[in-house]
Amino acid sequence: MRAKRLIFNFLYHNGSFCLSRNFRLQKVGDVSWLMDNFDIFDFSNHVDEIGIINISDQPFEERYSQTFFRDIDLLLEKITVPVTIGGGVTTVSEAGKLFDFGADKILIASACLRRPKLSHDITTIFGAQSLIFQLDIDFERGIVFADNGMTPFVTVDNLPQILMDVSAGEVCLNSIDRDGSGMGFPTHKAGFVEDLPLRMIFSGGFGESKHFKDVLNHPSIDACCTSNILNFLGDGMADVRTDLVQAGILVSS
Amino acid sequence: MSNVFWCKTCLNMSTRPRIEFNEDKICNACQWSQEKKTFNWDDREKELASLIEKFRSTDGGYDCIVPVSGGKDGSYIAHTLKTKFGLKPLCVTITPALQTDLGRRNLDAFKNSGFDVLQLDLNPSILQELNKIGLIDFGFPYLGWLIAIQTAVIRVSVDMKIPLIFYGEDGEVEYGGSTETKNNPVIDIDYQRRVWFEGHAGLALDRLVKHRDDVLRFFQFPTADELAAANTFITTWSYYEPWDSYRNYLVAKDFCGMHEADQTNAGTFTNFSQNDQLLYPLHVYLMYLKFGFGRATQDVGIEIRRGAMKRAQGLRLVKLYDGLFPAELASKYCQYYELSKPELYAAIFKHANKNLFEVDEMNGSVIRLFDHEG
Repeated sequence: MRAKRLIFNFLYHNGSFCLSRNFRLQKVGDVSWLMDNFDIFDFSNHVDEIGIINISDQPFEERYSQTFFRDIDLLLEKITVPVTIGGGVTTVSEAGKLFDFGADKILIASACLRRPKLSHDITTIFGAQSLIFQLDIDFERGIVFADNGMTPFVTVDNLPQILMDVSAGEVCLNSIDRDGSGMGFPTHKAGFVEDLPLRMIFSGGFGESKHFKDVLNHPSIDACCTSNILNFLGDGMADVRTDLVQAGILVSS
Repeated sequence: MSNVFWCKTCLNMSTRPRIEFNEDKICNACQWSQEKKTFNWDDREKELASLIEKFRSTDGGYDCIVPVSGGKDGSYIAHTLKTKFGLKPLCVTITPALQTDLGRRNLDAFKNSGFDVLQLDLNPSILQELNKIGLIDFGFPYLGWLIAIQTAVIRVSVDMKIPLIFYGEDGEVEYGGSTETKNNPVIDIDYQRRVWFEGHAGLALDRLVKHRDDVLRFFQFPTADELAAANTFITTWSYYEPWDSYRNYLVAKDFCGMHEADQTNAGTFTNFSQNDQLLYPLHVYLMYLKFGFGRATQDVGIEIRRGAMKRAQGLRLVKLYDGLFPAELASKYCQYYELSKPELYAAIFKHANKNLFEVDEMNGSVIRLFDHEG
């Protein structure tokens, strides 16, 4: 059995780290705020991976500005676990720039949803382990969205086919309807993943330890991901890890 | 200090007015939130259905009144009454002092989602004077508006002959305080005066009446005779179904066009409640000075009770956000209350609980003399 993992994504938007609720943003603080309120080195000892998701709606060049790279450099200096960077990547060349900057993986949602070939192009060059394909899903309504939750794309019935068409080391199902809610991930609506031979990450809704336990106890799920910068403020993820280790779900860090 | 303690489940403090704790030091809000999970709501649902039928208009007019601001709770109630029960609510709003742009936009969005809203812009100078009395004498910086959202709404009910009024929740029951309406749907005027206004409304109005001859009709409750003749029935929605302000937020943004603030609200970690006026951050700061807990403590309690976080998580947020003075608004407050900065700070800090804080009024520094229980 593969080891289960705990992932934390920092959401970055034009210089601010944000909390997202149902894909609506609350700016929480800049990189100084983040460094004041998170001991990033210690934090990264309690998660298995960290993501930095750039959720600006600007084109790649503006989105990945000097300010972004300067801010994120400060974090990368202290992070000791694999780092995923994502948001707005639409070409192999853009993916390459993020790998060059230091990303261990990249995360792509809309571009791979629209053009599955992009995922094949990227994984052919960088390897399947380099790509997380994220699907933003309103599980309540059964709709997969593109463009940061703005564009309804297909119904969830189409997911098995979509997942067969895309080449990625991991698939992240991100719940729009539970995003930032602290109500837990809607695992009961994601039963279709059971027969899929893919590494699955569930994201959205995690508010406290119990929500992670509920998901990670599911044999088909490899990892949980949260971006709730406030619920897990400070050493909040350390407590989650302790609870999950005690429950025999995670190995200690 | 020695007798101050915190709820073992949330972070409600024993200093909270009227709050009750059991022998395990669990506050009445947390006890009620547990009770609600197994409570038989069927009887309350029937009571609501019966109440609605009793007051449903027979001539196509409004069936009830719902006070709203464009925020989550009033929007949820109005939406539910309209879509689930087929009622035509008249929504009533009292324009607050220092209304925010977001507040205006949310109210417009709510109207545009399909509701009639009666908007009362009460005499700003009366409102200002009551708010100022509230600030200086009682530490209630928007007392005038707090009075009016009760008195003016009931006045509209009487004058327009729409006797049924639905307020949102009774904060006493839901967030900690008196439990006397837990099993009683009626919110009578005595209760509003005594508990919701803590007796301050009458005192403030008495002071006003002595030197002003303006019409104070919307700031005064109708008489007992008027209320009896009008068959007025004032109740809270939280009596009839499990109150869940997060659910209300989701419904309000999905169906009534409500938007959150772009940034974290002053003194707390959320962005989706109490966004309509700039005096609210001052209100909760004064609450912090008087009782030792602020807006973040209140929000943490809601999050813990709905199962979205644990106490230790909440404690981190309280330590970071509670009791932050909204300094960026100080100039606006000075202008509004017609006070100099030293006068404003003196008016604020005189309400600080000296058992909980050491205050240097000259430079506005506040040192907390207590530490939260871990």
